[in-house]
Amino acid sequence: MQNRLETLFWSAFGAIVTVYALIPVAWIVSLSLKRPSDLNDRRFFPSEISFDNYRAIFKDAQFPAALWNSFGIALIATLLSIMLAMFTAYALVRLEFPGKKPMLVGVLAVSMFPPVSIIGPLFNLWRSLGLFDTWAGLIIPYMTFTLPLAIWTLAAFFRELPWDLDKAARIDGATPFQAFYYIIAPLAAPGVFTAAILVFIFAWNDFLFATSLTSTNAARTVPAAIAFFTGSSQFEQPTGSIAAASVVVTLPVIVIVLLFQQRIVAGLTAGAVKG
Amino acid sequence: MAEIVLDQVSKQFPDGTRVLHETGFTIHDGELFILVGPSGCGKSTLLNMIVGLEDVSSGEIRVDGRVVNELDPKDRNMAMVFQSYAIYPHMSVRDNIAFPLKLAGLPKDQIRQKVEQAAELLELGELLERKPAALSGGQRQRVAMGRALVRDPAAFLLDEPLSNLDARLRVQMRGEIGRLQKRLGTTMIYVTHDQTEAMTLGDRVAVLNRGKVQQIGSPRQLYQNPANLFVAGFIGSPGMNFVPAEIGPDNLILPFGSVKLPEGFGECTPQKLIAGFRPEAIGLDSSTDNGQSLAFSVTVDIVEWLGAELFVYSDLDLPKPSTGYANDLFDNGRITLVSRLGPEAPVRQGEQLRLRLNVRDIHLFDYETERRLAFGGDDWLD
Repeated sequence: MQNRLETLFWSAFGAIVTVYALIPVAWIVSLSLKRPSDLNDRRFFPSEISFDNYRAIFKDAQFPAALWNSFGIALIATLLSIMLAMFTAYALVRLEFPGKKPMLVGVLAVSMFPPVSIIGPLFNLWRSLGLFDTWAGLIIPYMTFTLPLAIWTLAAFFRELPWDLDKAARIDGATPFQAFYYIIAPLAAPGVFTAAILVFIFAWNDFLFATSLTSTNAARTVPAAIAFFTGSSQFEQPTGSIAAASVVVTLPVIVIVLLFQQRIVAGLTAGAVKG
Repeated sequence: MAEIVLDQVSKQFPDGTRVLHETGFTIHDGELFILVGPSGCGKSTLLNMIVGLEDVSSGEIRVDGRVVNELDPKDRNMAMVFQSYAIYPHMSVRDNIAFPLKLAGLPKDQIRQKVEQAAELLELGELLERKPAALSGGQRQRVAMGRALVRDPAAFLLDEPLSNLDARLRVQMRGEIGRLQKRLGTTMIYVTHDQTEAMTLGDRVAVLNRGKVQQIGSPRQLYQNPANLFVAGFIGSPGMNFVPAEIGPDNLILPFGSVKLPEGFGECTPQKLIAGFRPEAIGLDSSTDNGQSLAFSVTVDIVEWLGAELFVYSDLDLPKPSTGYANDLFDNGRITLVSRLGPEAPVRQGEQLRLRLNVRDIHLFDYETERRLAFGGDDWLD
């Protein structure tokens, strides 16, 4: 009895939270499917489903370019960040070297730095270096600000891996790199995917750097591009287009999380050592 | 095939802890050599140094005459079985066993053949495609063995390979490892904290304590001629009985009586002596005194009947005033004696019991140096 009440309580609680979180999303989806003339009809569900808004944003040259920039920049930033973080985290967990503790703390300190405080200097620096409004100009700050998170996530994962496995691989004839490549990396895959998702979402959703460090379609990403949407006349709010663009920009994140979720299987190391 | 020579090898951690003092001995080609000692005695460190997982602080390790101190573990051609087995969880049994061969760059068909040979030897044939998570403890242990022996290593190093198995499986695997080693004839170094494993498996055994080798010898030598108090107490189960002793003008004085001084005991000069004797040295007092034994009475505390034998634990009060060191060593002047009797002996808890100790079974140790000074019997030579 107690148990069933408890189950009921938790499922009801979960349902409430889910609904609460999803209502704004549903609203945006609904808005994006309304005809421009129905936008103010005060109805939650569109009276007639229309894809006009979607057609409109893809007709404009701005949005497809922004989508391409978003994908490219977010993927490259994720790849670089995860690669660097993997080696750093492995070294931090497995090796003894002077300054190990300060390094971990320093890494954390970087992530505590408010990004908004460096935007101004970065803007000037990027302009004189020629990085302003380029992919690299966004990839570098994304990498910098996601590295701490990636390093800490991966370090936590590496720490869970039995050290005997590296030793066994070394004795079996593997070089340190082979031991990492054949044994540690596959076992750390769930951690790598978790970190990769977090980094990707950060880079994908970022608005601050994207608006400040870009000026044209050459590097402007979707969140920034949406802000520059204009209505068909100066008296019209581009509400429908913004809603449609928001839906389009959310889809890849959902797809990626669902795809990687299968890879994040807990207990992959079961059976390595006596448990 | 390899002869491994440790030449004054020692290990010191950067923080100054000395885990292994200068140690030198030779492990002969084809020998099953055991390193035994309590946890923290440095035996695993020594093994890790031989295989190359730990640096050597000083001294030399030579394999077939070649110094390997600076050699990477992958180039030492040694195989190791870990206490945790350390099999790769994301690989099937086949891939696990094949891993060293794959790294060595053997052709595929040769790898296949060797893996299947090893699997057959270890009765793993049916399990080759399984993942480690689907294996039992004993099977995982065999996979770890398979990965070690598939590559014809110069030496096998086993680090407490059986301590994670249940008692019955442990005895079975112990026998299998021994047979396997004899069959392959490869040098094997086996680390354990279990003196039973050491005694039953080893050609030769090195007893370690606090980073020092206490004694190296055959199991019989360790049992019958322990070099010092530690080895005497560590080898054998239940352990040796120790009591304070004194040398009189022509007799040996023990807390429960005195006996004519056995041959060779006369030269023992130190003041503080400890006499040791094994549980089987004490029997029920049935015979008459022949001058070679000592009869005494005890109160039976605990009786352990094991079917084939009977262990009797009895309390013994030290006579007052007893010497100071005896009080330090033996908790408040009380000593528990263990004796091994025949299973049919009519002994009950709380009873008074007459026991007889054979003088030829008494070892005499120096309390200060802990070294063995004399033995009433003959030393085992082999």
